[in-house]
Amino acid sequence: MAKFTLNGVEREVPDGINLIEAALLSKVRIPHYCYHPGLSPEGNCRMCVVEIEGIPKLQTACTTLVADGMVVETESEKVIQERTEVMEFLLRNHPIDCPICDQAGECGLQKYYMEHGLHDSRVAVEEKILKRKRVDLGPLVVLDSERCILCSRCVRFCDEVAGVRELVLANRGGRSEITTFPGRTLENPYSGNVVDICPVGALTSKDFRFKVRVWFLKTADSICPGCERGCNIYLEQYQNEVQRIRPRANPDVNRWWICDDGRLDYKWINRDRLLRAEGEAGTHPPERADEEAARMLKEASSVLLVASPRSSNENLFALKRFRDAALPRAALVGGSFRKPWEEDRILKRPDRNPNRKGMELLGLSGDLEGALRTGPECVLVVENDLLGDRPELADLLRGKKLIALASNRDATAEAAALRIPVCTYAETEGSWTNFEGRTQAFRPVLKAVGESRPVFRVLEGIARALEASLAWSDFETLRAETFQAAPALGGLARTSGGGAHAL
Amino acid sequence: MIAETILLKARMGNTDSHTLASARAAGAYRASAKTLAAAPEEIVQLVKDSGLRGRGGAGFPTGLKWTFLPKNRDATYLCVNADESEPGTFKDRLILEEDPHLLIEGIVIACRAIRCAHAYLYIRGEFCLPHERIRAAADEAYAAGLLGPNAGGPGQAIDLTIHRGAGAYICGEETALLNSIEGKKGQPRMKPPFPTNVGLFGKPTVINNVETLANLPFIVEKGPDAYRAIGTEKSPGTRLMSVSGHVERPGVYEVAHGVPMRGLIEDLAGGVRGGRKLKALIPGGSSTPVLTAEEAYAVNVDFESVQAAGSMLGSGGCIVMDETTDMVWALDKLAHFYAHESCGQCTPCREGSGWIAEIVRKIATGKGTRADLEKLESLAAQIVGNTICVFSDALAMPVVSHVTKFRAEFEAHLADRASSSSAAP
Amino acid sequence: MTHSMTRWSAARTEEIEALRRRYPTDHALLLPVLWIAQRDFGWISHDVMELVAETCRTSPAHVYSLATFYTMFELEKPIRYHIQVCNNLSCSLCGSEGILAHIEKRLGIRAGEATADGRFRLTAVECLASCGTGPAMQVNDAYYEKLTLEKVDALLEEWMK
Repeated sequence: MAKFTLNGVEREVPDGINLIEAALLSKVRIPHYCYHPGLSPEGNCRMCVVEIEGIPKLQTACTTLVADGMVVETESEKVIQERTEVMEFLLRNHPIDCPICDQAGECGLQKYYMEHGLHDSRVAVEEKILKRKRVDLGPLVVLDSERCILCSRCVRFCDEVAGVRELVLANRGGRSEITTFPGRTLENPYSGNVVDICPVGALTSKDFRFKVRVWFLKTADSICPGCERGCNIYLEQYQNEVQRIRPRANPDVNRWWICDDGRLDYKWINRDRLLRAEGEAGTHPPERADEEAARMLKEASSVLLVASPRSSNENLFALKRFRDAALPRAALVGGSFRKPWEEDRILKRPDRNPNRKGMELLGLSGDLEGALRTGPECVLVVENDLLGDRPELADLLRGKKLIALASNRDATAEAAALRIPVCTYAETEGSWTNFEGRTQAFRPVLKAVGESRPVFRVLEGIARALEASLAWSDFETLRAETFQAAPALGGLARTSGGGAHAL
Repeated sequence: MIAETILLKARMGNTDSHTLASARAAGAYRASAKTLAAAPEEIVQLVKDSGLRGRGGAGFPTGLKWTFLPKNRDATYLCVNADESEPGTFKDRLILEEDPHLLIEGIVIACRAIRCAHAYLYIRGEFCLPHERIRAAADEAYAAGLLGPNAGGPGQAIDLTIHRGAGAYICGEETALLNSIEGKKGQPRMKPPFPTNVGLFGKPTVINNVETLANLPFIVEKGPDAYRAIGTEKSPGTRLMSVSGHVERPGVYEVAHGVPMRGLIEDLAGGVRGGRKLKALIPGGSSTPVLTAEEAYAVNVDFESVQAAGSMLGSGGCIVMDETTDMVWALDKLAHFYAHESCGQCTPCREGSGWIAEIVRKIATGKGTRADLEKLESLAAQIVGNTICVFSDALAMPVVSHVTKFRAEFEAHLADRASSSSAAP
Repeated sequence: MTHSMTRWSAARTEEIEALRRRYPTDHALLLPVLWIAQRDFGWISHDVMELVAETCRTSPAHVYSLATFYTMFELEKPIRYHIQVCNNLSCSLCGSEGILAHIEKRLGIRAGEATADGRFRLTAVECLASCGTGPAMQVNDAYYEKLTLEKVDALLEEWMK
């Protein structure tokens, strides 16, 4: 530990951290642009200067490690004047096109401009240097060079995290510009992160551009459903549709990043949703649907319940309890589904299901094909697009009465005799356990779409129609029961820090 | 009347002075041979005793710099800074062209002193003839065993690799030079760590200027006392002064530290051209504050004297301007140079250098206003002290000194100048 | 992927491999190899950048950043005579502005431009360390110093032939 004095107050912080982080631990924010905790410090923007006793020149906080006995001032007159001067330089060629800039509302320039009160510009608009605008950098990213402050975060991200030197600062001095090699695009599978870490509006997301002003977005802490890594994300919605996904920092899981596949893995939430229960005779209101499901299950001589590695631990546990309480003779297996993809050394894991580990820890693995071969008369599939993911299962499913609890009109739902809408992870509480055994909660950001309900509520309804007793007063009760029944899940994991990296 | 004191220029002037045969006939490599019997520490001590100070600009004591190397190290590099780019300076070029073996001998001595097995010489890209000469000299030295696997004694290699720059003033900054050799853009590094700890390819590294190294053969051969007998107490030895601009005989003059500047200009360089009067003089390369004629004629050519007059001896590049010179025009030339050469890394320098150049041009072309002049002064203050290297200081110094010392000229250029000043003769 | 025409000759490969032994990293070869490329191919095209990247085991984007940071690489097209007139203070004190204006007039181009036939490019450059022998200019690999209008005319006559 190091004892140092910050703005007159003595603080104790861990050794070996820089002054920005040390100050942050004491809830003191030091303005900065080029520094990012996930990248090597470069000290080029010069915003984070602080006064250190005994050193005549101001020092950049991002490149200075805290030391015992250090006396640091972050808000002295000298520091504020220096920062204000740096702001003036940064804004010298800024196009001030905030009204059409996607960054507006979450822009480092706007933020510090307001804080430093630079209201009277000494630059005439016609004196500003013009640079390239709307440069198509790659599949996900657009560059506006005029807005760029050349902090090189994006360059360092590609170098240090994605491991490919695709972005560079070309030319020099006032003509410096971010670019790819002419004729090539930003292709690395983590490219979207450069948009998140760009402190200004220079790099914007093609996917999100001009969709909605950021101050209209509502945000929830969530977990990426894309693979068994369980990257922490923010889900952001407007008018009950997910508008974008951004990484939520978690040093133990995904640091500050997510892959591009994960970033775009939300469109299905807004599209092709199953809004009402549908049977062979038409649509059913929820209660009727539950009764219909109960009838089919009761009439069948044999029943197979199929759990999903995409379901939450709580829903999986509810399914187990449903079997025990309502259909004790039914078989219950967990099955795999999304085909594996190629693993990389960064974040992507081969298994594309977010809760494989949780399903296993809940004892729900098993031989799905074997279970289907025993010839169950009725199959209840929960949150699992068996046919979409593994079309070869069509033969084994033929002739069986299929009930699907599904959020979307996927191949399995379409093939089912009865399909009942359920909420996606964006509309419910839940938890997934990642490949390392870390159980992480996600929170709803959307209101339930159509007549969809959480899976466990549908199971309660069917159980009721089957005259079995199965009920949870609320989600928290279900979660507590789940964690109690499966101590191997370890309860919700604590993280050693994280959240957003606010400039 | 002052005269030159010749240490470094001794062998120059003949058409074949750059060849090994000619240099050897005149005594080259005697000193380096002498060091083969000496322990590295003895050579370091010798150089410390001589009081030799770096000739690249900062004037840092060379022997002291060498002692900053960590005691235990697995490799050491010597980088020879031959990126001479400071406007007004052209003395390293003279050594490279006319007596490259003097430099190579200095390199060998330095390598022995700091236990370096591989020296890299970074030469500015524009230097074609100097490049050709130093490369040919290195080839000769390799062929004669003066460089190569046993150049530092049996089994003790001293290799010399010549690395050509490609057009960037900033590469004369020592850490930018290291980055440039490593195949990066020539952008200065954050310090600490200092190059003597973490330098080229991450190893302890000493960076010395061409002229600095060229002093070593004399010091080794004649001893520190003989060296200290020349020059002043704090600036021993001679100085290669590059004199350019409005003088009758521009050129590189080797003078003992401490001679009067007036003597350098009038006796050696033949005085201001056409019998005109001196108006201003930049004493140590374009980055050093300009001196008025009175100031210039009151200083001596040594670090302390020029510093006492508010400027610096820097790299010894003396730019002489006569009474016909428009000082706004002169600053315009310099300001555009710095805007062109800013590496672009740090915000204040990248944005400030271009902004300053724009304003100076505006004033020089008669479109500037009083507000512009004020802005110019505040920007010059604003860029100082908050950057990774001293480039922005090197720009601010000429701006501040030109505006302060020749304010009336700047005001006379303003579009909204007061009628009294426009009526002035 | 480099263009099939853009390859090192066998001799050049040998020269590069000899250089490689002088540096502990492949990266450090970048400037020397760019110089070799400019000499061999006349200019640094995008194809050449890709070849250099492959040789020095780095990305073409990085080579591009170097080639545009340093000013001495020809990036647009091969030029027969690249005339670079020093525009810094010492040469200007000795009349380099007049020399530059004269060449502009003779070639019919402004500083920063090239003639349509690719024979000449004219650039106003910063200090060439010829301050004692100004006005000075560099044309390809040679310095021309103590320039006068007559001297410049004689050179231009020669090069225009």
